[in-house]
Amino acid sequence: MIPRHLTIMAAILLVVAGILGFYSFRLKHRAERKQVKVAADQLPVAPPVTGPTSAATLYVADDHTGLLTRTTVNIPLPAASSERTQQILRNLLTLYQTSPSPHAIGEGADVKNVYFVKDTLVVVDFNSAFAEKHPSGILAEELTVASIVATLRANNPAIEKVKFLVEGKDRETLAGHADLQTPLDAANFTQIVKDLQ
Amino acid sequence: MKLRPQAQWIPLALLALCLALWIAPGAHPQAEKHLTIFAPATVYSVPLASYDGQDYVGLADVLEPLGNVEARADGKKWKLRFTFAGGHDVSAEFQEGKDKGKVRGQDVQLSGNFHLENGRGYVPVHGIGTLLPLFAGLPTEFHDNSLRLLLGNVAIRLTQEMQKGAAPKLVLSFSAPVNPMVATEPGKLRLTFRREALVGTASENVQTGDSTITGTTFNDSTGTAQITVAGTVPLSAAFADGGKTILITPVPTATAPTEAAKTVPPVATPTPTTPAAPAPATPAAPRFLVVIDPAHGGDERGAAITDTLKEKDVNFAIARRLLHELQNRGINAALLRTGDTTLGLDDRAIATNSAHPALYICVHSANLGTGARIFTALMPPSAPVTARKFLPWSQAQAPYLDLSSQFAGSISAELGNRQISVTALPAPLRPLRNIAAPAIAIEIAPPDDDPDNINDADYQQNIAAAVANGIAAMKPKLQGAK
Repeated sequence: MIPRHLTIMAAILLVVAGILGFYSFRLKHRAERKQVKVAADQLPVAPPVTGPTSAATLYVADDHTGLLTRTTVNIPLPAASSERTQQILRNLLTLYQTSPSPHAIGEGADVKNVYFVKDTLVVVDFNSAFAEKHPSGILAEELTVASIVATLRANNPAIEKVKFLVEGKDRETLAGHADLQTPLDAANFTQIVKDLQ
Repeated sequence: MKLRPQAQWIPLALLALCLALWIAPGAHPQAEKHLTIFAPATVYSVPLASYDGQDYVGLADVLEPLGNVEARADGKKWKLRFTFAGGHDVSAEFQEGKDKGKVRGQDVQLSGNFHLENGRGYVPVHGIGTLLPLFAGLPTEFHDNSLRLLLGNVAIRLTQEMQKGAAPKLVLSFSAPVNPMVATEPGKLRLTFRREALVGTASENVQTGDSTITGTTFNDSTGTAQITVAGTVPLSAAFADGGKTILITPVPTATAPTEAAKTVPPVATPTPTTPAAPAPATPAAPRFLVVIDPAHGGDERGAAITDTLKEKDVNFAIARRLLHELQNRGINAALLRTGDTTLGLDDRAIATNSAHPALYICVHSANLGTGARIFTALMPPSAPVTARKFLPWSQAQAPYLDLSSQFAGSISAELGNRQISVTALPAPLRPLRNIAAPAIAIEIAPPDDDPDNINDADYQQNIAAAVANGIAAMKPKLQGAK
């Protein structure tokens, strides 16, 4: 026979455990809601530079037509080529993450850094959301890669090769299909851009 | 604290339950064990499961590469309808826990109880040799030890003759052309037959009595046949008689390698040398093999077509339909993966390049857009290869790009004829750039706005038939060029 005081103690503990469980469940939900809001706030919406605007060319992918459209935007751009390129790409990614989006990419995708090697090779370092949350599929991934490479080339014709990094590291494919291991030959994308226009 | 007498049994009962679950009979997958099946048009392997310590194989897994399989579980009963690639229909019925079943309306005895798990029927592998002829209507040879099943007259027999003298020569004669992987190491030359149903001779260890080429050993215990030639000097292999003869000779001392070990790549085109045996040399017909690669698989899911539909499964279903359509048109075709297995991109390229196909086609699916997209490798083309030479791994596709584009065009035209919207594009896609043969990838999207319709049997069949027609249309052109 279990002593009466132990039974009462066990019952009290059970009730306390239940209340704590419910409280932690509520806390978790509240934190998740907060996170979603933060993720939306973290979009690379506005270029953090001010001053006179310059014209930049964007090749914008469209999932409905499977095509690329060339558009020109006037945005404030820094003078240094790395920062300038980063801002142009951020504008492109922001466009894809603004509803209604013409082309789905990973939520929270952003460009962390852009490095130029001898003016002809540009290394673009994306954050993990760019690759981890990107929709998988050959065309879906090719549209993203082609739009980035074509945009880079349109704004800097000296670029011959583009290397994609994710969080500073090499990556085999974007989301299971598009090859990111070898530097992409920008000239090869000229034909794709023509085909996709 | 003292528990009540009844409560004292609870931990013991929990322990007993855990033990019972641990030792309960169930399928324990054995990743290391496979049944390799050599059929007239394809070679594939199927993973084995274990029930009550006995090896079992999924009957549908065995039959699927050979024809169309429709199977459904009805309570404890499992009904199967199999349409052989040649045309005839076979119905079968088995029951969970029973060692008897019905095939073509006749009773069949299994060597163990039939097992049903997740809607899939498993039969003992040891009885597969007697069960499969009832479905395929072909003579079957089952090698129990090596877990190799030979379906039809695919067995390749070996005879060997040692020619002693000043220039000793071991002549290995095969009943059909072979293309093994050749590897050398000190004192040994090893021939590995991955795609040929080579069966051993009566004696598996042969001593030649020669001082340089001392003996041969045949081994097929791992499901792959292997001949090891032992020698006291470095040995080399040369092909003759259209690949039906392999001549093993000592490497001349002036050019003998001094490395500790050396591996040579698989020999694709047998080097014409003087036939050792005066057998009538028949010119081998140009081989037209299509390697179909159902993309992703195993741990790699691919795209999520819907919340429940995985790309890897859709790819596999379409690839199987394409295999049957090609076989129906008399074209040799093989699947690169025959089950839900993980294969690396480099492994896919290596397996394809070893098979020297006329075409490599990688099957993908996606929920973006509608219809089909055909992709060739994104790279500048190079001049076609006129002689056998090593190609840079990342540029292996370049010499074949023109042919790849022709295949893409032919398939696009056939898809267009069937009112299926199609786009042909280059893409930075692996393993296309590593394939030393014409290579394309096809991405199938749903027929309309409903992604679930990508699984529609008629839609998949229509696409598979169009692709097969496109490939068949290229066959005479390719063979004419050869």
